[in-house]
This record gives sequence, structure tokens and C-alpha cells, in this order.
Amino acid sequence: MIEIKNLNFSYDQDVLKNISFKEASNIVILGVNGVGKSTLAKCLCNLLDFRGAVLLDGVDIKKFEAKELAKTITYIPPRLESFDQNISCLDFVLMGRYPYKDPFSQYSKDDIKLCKKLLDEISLEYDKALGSLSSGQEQLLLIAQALSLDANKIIFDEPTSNLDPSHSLELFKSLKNLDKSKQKIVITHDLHFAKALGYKVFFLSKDALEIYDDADDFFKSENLSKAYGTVFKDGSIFYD
Amino acid sequence: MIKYFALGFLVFLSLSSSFVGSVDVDFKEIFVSGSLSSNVFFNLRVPRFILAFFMGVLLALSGWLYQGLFRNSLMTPFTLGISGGAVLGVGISVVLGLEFAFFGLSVSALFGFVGAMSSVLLLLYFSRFVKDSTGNSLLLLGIALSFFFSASLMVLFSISTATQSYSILRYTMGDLSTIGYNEAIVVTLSSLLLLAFLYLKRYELAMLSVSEQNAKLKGLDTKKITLLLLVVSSFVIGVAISITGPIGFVGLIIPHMAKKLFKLPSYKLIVPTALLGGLFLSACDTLSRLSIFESEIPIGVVTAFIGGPFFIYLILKRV
Repeated sequence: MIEIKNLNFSYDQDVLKNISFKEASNIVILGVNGVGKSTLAKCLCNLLDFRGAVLLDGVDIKKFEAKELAKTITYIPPRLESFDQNISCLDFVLMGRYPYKDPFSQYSKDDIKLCKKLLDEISLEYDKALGSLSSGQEQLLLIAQALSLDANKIIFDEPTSNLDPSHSLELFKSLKNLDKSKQKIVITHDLHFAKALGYKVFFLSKDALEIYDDADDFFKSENLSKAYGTVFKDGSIFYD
Repeated sequence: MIKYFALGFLVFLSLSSSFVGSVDVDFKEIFVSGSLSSNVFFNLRVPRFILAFFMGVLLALSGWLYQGLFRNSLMTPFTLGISGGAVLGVGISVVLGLEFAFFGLSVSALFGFVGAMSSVLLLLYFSRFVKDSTGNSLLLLGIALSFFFSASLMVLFSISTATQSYSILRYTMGDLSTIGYNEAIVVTLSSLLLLAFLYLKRYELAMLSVSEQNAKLKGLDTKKITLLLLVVSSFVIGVAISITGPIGFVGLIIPHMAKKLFKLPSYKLIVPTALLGGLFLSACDTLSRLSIFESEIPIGVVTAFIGGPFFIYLILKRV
């Protein structure tokens, strides 16, 4: 369960204004560029200094111990940005096991086995350096790292933005097969992907957050046209 | 191939450090007690080699730490103004004419330490108001502090006597000369303490070397760990710089050299960086005392002369 009360956040200008909701099921967050979808996701993980309150399963996130918060909620950014480009894929995925590791010990054999399995699933070599990955591989690696972290709530930020159609389908299946007890929040501009997921739709605009309990309702062309301010036909954008 | 040749040459230069200098050491007489060679070798050259080697270790590790911690390739004790603080501290003690020892260390070293720690405390205080996590703002703060310390040093120069000015000037260029083992032991312990501490925190540093967001999302309290690492490292660096004076370039180039030579993730480069730093500074010390020069060249001048061009070569060639 994620509960937000009067969330406000501003960089130089106000980005999020008085956002409130309470939701226990899976969500797709949609909205035009720059409206604050990723900012909202980062506030949910306590990555930004916001005003208001965020409660995860009834507990204020400011009261969580850092490792407990990591086990409760995680955020998968759309791009991998690393200062150290020589870190190997295995080392990177292993970082997801940090909250479970004893402070003065190494990563356990079970941790290493799990992370190798996750890398096998996305066909990435263990020793491959981060600097040599394609943007699609980076995106898959970020997802693998989040899966090794095994948080209760996972926020996927534009998870298909660098994936080819076949990998998008793989990701779609993985999301469907992921533990049902985990709450999934997907931020995306890929409307076909969003519709196929069938999650509740949260449409974020500058003035408000509209919630559609029935996803099909939102994906009607007239609603899409109204939301995005452009012409949609048969649920797809009309290029003319 | 060039890589191994360069490394081999570095080891050779480093190891010959104890046999080079204004007095020729006769190898046969080293173990003859009371001989000049034995005295020079064991009371001057060996402690100097130890001091140079572990100062190199410490400077290289501090550069490695700051660059990874703030994800900025220009971070060193120099660029952060810590060295500038130490120089100012020493300058004040010289102008005040304080010349007594305290637990085997000169009072000017203690002033240097206070200067270094003051600049760290100022940096920590200002960094509370900085939101930028890439370290650029901190770097600019460090540069601003350095300018302030330099200006204050100029004031000291203008009110000091010629002898005092010379003594401050020598200190600003770094000085590894030492008699006996006191200084060498302090610097060795400081560098080993830093090495052990960084090794203990290697997984946390690996996460931070990706990004601050990455580390936070894995449950690392980034503010707490950054403060802890800064306080511990600044403490040992403050102690060491106050003894030898600031020696530039080692903290900047050695972490880059280690990265390019070994192509490993930074958290696996702690020991290689430390060794390379030690070898580099002791090799530079050998060169500074070669008899082709009329007198000893300040160590900071040698590190800059060698480090600068070699660094440019590394960047251009992408070795």
C-alpha cells in the first residue's frame, strides 16, 4: 500500500502540487514530458527532499532505516549513469544484495548464484564492464539489479524506452510472472505496453492527478486525445 | 609492453632511492656499525624511503577516495584546499617563530595539521548548503578556499623576514628530508590506517562510484558514510601533509594511472593504487636527489615535471 498526503516538490519551479492518493494495486503512471512522473517516483523512494508525507504500508518513509526502505521500495531509472565505467555486470547486480549483507562480510555464495542466474536470463556476461553495454543492455541490467534487491514495491521508469520489441515482450511477461504480492508501478510513454499491462491508470498533468480504475476507460481515443492534447484514432496516435 | 617497462623502471628507481644522494653510500660498509655509510643509510636514507613510499600511498589513496566518493576526476586534497590550509598553518607558526617539538613532531607540523583540519571543517560546513551531488560545487568551494589561503600566505610573506620566507617557500614545495624514524612511522601508520579503512568500506565505495542515487536505493546512508570517510581521510591526510608539506599531482594522476593500467573497477584498485602511489613518489624522490643537480630539487617540482607530461600522454594515448 502506497499512501501520499499533500505531496509538494519544486526544483526552481513547482513540479508536484498537492498530490494525494492511496493505492494498493499495480499502477501505470502516464503523462506528458516534464510533468513530474519520475520526480514523483523519486519522492516515493525518499530520493528527493519533498514536502508532505509518503507512507508505505502505513509507515512514514522518513522513519524507515535506510536498508529497510531499500527492501520495501525501489526505483529503476530509465538510463544507467555510472561514474565508474569499469564495474562488471555481476558486481553491479550484486549491489542489489547489499541490504541483506552483513556489514563486515563479503557477498554470500547464494547471493552470487542468484545474481549469475539473473544475468544468464538476460544473456549478459558476468565480467562485461558497464562502459561497454548498449543502452538496451543497460536497461535490462538495471532491471536485473532491482530484481536481485527483491523489494516489495518496484517502480519501473520507462522500462521499454531502449528495448527492441522482442525484449519488450520478455519484460511484459516477466512483469506478469513477477510475484503477485509485489506492487508494481510502471511509468511509460508506450501506450500499447501500458494498455496490455491492464494496471490502474494514473494520469499526471500540471494541475491534477486523474485516476482511472478501469484502464480500458482511459485508452479510449477521445480520452487519450483529451489527455495528451493531440489526435488519437483507434487507441493510437494519428500521424498526419 | 611499454606498460611493463614503465612499471619495471618505476620499481628500479624506487628501490635505488636509498643509494642516491649527496653522500655516496658504500654498500660494503652499510652493516659496519658506526661507519658513515651505515649512519647515512639507516638514519637518513631508509627512513626517507619509508616516508616517501607511504606518503605516496597516502596521497594516491586520498585522490582515489575523493574521486570515487564525489564522482569527480579532479578531486584531490590539493583541489579541495586541504593542502592550502596546511601551508597556511605552517606559515603562521614560522612567522610567529615557534620552534619546539611536541611528541617528536615539530610545532609547525602541528600548525599544519590544524590548518588542514580547519579547511576540512570549513568545507564540511559549506557543503551542508550544497545540493549538487556530483561534487562540482564542492570542488569550486575547495578552489575558492585555496585562493583565500594563498592570499593569506602572501600577507605572511610580506610581513616575514627573508629566512622565514625561504622556510615557508621550501615547505610549499614539499620536503621529504627526515632524520630518524618518527615522521616515517607517523606517515606509515596514517597510510595503513586509511588503506584498512577504505578496504573495509570497499562495497559502499563501489556503490557510490556508480552514483549517489544507486547507493541510496541499495540502502546506504550516503550522508553518514560520506561524512565518516571525509573525517577519517582528512585526519590522516592532515597529519601527513603537515609533516612533508603539500606534494601535488600524486593524488590526481595515480588513481587515473591505476585505472588505465589495470582496467579494473575502482573498488578493486585500492591496493594497486596504493602501491603505485608509493613507488611513484619514492621514484620521484630518487630523481630529486640525483647528483647531476647541484642541490636537491623539491619533491613537488619533480612530481609535477614527471606527472604532468605522463598524464597528458596517458590521456592522449588512452593506454
